[in-house]
Amino acid sequence: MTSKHVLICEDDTGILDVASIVLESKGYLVTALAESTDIIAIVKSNIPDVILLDLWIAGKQGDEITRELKADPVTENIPVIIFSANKDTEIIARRAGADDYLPKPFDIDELEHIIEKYL
Amino acid sequence: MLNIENIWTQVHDLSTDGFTLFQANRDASGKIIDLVRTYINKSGATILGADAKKLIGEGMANAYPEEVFARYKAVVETGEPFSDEISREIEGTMRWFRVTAVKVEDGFGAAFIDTTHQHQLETQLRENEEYLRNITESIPQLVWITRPDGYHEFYNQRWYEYTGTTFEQAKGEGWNHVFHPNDQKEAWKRWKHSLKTGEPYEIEYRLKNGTTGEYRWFLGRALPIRNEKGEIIRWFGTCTDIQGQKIATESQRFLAEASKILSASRDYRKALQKVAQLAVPQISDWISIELYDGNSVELGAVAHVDPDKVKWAKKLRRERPINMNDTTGVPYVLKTGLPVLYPLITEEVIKAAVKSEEELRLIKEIGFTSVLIVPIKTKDRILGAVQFVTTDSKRQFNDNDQKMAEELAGRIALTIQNASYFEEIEQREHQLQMLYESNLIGVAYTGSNGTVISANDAFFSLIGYTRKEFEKNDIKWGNLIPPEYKEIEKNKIKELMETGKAIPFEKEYIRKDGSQVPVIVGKTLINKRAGTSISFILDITERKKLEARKDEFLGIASHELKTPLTSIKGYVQILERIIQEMGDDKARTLVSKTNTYIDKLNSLIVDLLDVSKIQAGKLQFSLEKFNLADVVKESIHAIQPTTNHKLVLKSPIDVVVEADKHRLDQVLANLITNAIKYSPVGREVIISMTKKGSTIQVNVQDFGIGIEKQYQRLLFQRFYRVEASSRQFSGLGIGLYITSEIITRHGGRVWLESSPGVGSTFHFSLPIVPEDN
Repeated sequence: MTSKHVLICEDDTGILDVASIVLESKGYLVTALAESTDIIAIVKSNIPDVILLDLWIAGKQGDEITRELKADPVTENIPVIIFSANKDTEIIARRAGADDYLPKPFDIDELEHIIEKYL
Repeated sequence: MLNIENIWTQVHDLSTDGFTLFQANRDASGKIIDLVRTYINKSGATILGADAKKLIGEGMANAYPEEVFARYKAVVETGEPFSDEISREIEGTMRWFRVTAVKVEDGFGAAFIDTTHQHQLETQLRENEEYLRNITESIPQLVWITRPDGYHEFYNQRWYEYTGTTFEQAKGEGWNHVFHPNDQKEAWKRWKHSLKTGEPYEIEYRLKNGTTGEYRWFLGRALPIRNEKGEIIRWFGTCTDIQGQKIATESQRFLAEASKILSASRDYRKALQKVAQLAVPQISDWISIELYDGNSVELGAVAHVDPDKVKWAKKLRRERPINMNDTTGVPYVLKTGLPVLYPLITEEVIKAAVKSEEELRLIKEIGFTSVLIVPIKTKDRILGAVQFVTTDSKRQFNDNDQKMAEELAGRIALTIQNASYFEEIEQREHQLQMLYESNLIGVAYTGSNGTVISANDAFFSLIGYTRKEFEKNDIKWGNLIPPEYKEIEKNKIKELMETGKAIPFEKEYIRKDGSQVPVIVGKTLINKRAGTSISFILDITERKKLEARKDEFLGIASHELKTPLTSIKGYVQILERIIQEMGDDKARTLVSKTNTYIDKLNSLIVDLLDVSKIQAGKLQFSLEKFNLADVVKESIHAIQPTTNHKLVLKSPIDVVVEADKHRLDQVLANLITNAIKYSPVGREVIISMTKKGSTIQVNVQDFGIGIEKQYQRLLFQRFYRVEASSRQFSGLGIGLYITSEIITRHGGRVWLESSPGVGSTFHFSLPIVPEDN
């Protein structure tokens, strides 16, 4: 059985690192992006099983990326989870069409649970 | 030959006068014992009403009264003729005759005419006159009677009482001195006219009261009394006191005139002076209108017929301003708002009021007779007083004068009030004009259908057009408001028409170049019927930008602060797992504790952001209906593992509230963790619920240090921390502020009961959603 593929885009390298460590230790294949400029192309070239996005990323913003993904038939079915720092970003995430959100700071247990939920 | 006797008889028979002859009848000693009629002419017999033949031979001794007989006897005896009025009774009727008797031989001849009728008339006249005089004493007027030439020969008692004169002083033409000097000439002229023509005399004049010195108005009237021949035999005159009517008429006329002056003038001070001028001398000798600003008194107007006296009064006021500490006069009226009437200023009154010899001298110099002071007041303010003073006229004010004065004061009050409204309006207009011309904000006058009638340059530049385009009607008003603002614009115009103003609201204009400008607009109705209004438009582009930046900052701040915290938390938790695998329990506990403090740091960041949001008015709630007891239970459940205190839930009540669940959870967490924090030696925290009418109350009770009364109210302020505890207990002092804000915004209330050393109970209440909802 091939490993599930998780794509993480987060410009804070600490969070990116933590998420990668946790998810890789669970046996997932993790693509970690520290910037979002080419994310659509990368997603399309190798469709992940779930995408984890930060809202404010250098380059393209999380809600924007979500809108594009959800508007494209090729990517519309990929679950998108957005890291949210507060209630406002949660609303932005939902409006953009994200499937779920994960409030910052999160417990690593929570990270594991939410990814499992969409796999 | 001429028969003399015959001729003589014939002559006498022709005469209308009676003629008779008597012959003496003497006794032996020559003493006259009777006078016997020997002749009477026809007229004589007719006058006496008997046949001549029967009369001849009649003896006087029996037929005439003794004293009449004696007088005729004397004529015969002495030869002295007499001419007199003689009366005697003839057949039961008293008759009067004018008789001239002369001795003829040993007897007398007498010519006589009957004057009975004339005598009766005279008696009647005399009686009438007496009657008239008696009447004059009982009628309430002054009465006088003159001879046809105008010589005053009678006055009734009332005249003497009123004028204080005696008959000796007033008889003839002495009455003239009782008249007011200004009325003498006219009265005299008319009286002469009446005397000359016999026309009735009627005139109004003032007569001096001899006791008080007051001149009062009278209606003088006189009618001629004529005899049968139509000749004037007397003038009957009366003087009726018409002071009351005269004053009432004068008062009414004065009031009407004063009202006209007051309402016509925009400059009320000038109007007051005119009114004062109008009041003298008819209404009062002196009048002053005092203006009061709540502290000091200013002489608004003063009048007297004599300009020198006015100058003197003004000077006096400068030297001796009104002292508001005085308890009489104008200060009394200004302080109490009550009128004051001194009908007669007596020596005693003056002495009671004055404080110095100099003042006494001054008051005596003025010579007060009567004083009337009424307040000029509105419903809630005393604006001044009107003071009436009489001196030389000796006029005494009464209740009617007070009524008139109060009415005048009422009209003055209205005028002053109106003037201050005008002034205020003018000032506002001026201010508005300044605002309009300053072009600091857009100002536009609009007509009923929302069309702009005129506007300042700021407004035009705001909407991106020029004044020229406006004047040429080149502005497409319909395109100015974006469609999404049409609804609110409509509602605001409705609000404007209903309430007279539209509370400022935000909207946008589409400028000529298509760009949108955010503005805040306030409107005030100018004229409801015409539907004209004025709008103030403020460009809030900058404010909007700032707001956006602030929102952005809040978002970024929370993101930026939380991002490293998330990394730390992640690493710590990974570390915790690794240590757990290694089996080092001591290290694992330490790392676990680190995790707890990361959570605390996180909650501090969240609180700070909440405060920023409250400050910016950006704290938003997502309301839902839920069972409050469930949330209370969940909160207790979540907190219990983190503390050694026992969290006891007493009497939970199932009630539905409409609230932001997460925010309520935040409130409960704040109150429960506070209770734990401030009861370090306590063993339990009791959470209970109470239903009070349509509200539900949640109570969190601890058995801790408690809070002194003086600090209790301050607890809910931002960043407030009780001084003594701040070193012992950490915290930012914003938890209760946020709690209070959340509960208040939910329509509830937060309060506490506490006593130091015993513990505190924090309560919050929320409205219950009725079950059928």
